[in-house]
Amino acid sequence: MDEAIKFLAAGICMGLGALGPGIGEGFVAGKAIEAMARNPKMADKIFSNMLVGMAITESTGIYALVVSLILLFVV
Amino acid sequence: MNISVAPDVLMTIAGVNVTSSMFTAVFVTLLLFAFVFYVKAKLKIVPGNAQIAAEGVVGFFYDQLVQAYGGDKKKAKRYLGLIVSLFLFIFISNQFTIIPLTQSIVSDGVNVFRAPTSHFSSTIALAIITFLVSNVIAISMSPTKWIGNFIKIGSFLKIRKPADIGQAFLDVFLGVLDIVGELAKVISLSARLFGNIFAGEVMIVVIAGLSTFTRYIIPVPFYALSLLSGLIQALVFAVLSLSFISGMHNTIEEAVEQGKEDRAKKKEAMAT
Repeated sequence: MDEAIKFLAAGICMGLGALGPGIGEGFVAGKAIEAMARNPKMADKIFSNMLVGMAITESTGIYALVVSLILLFVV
Repeated sequence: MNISVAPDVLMTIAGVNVTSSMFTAVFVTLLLFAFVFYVKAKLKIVPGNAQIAAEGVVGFFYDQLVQAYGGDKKKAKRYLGLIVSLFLFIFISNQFTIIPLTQSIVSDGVNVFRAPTSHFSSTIALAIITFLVSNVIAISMSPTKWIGNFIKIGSFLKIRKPADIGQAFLDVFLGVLDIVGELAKVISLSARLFGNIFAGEVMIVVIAGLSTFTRYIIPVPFYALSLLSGLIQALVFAVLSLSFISGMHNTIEEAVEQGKEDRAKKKEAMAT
């Protein structure tokens, strides 16, 4: 029973935690491509800034991942 | 299939467990030393491949640092070593398990090599280094301004009319939030790095363990993905610690200059 609840908790945690970063990263990518289309000369700089921004947006998803990994393998 | 958050213990020296990730961290450090001495011995006006790579990395972070310190090249040079070595260490240790045959070296049924950044303690240690550097530099610049940055009692002294009381309480509350934010930086920096690298490894193990057919070609795109995320996470860690250190430095410097201006104004007012 405990085992089952652990897996359920990890699944719910990861599923809900992936929602926010998914929306956020899509927004970042969309805006960056808009900016690149408007100003192709700056594309390289915008792309590297986009990657850093995405990695930071992703961090809430990564927290959910860490929590569910700890639930699965440590607790 | 064996996935564990805690690394395996290789041996015990004087009561201290030497784990596989600790051993790999030392190995990566030696590799870095070897690389640096190799590049240094072969410095030329017409650069070779290794020199171009080293110059590219150093130049990238140098430009960022000069920008962060508002064009102050001397300060940029002072922090360049820390930031570049953080980046190189994290980058090489993220990609370490990709090197062929390192995963086949086994002693007593335990893998000798494991990516140091897939161990939570080592990423926390790296984040604490950033935290300590940014705060110790701020304290050494001006201890009172550093405390004043977090405990904002100063605005109580500036109350002139009733509307300022609310502002003063808000400032104190914001100071408490700053303390929490400073501690959260350590957790967010370390959890981001650990989560990405460990998740990459777990994903490959799970894909390879699904069935016999998914063992051979299928994990290749996931390896590519974890290579990319290893590079990006190393970059993000270095850039974020750069911005934490320079941001703290700049706020304290501004506060010190503000204090000097206020004192000068008071002197003028006294003189007139």
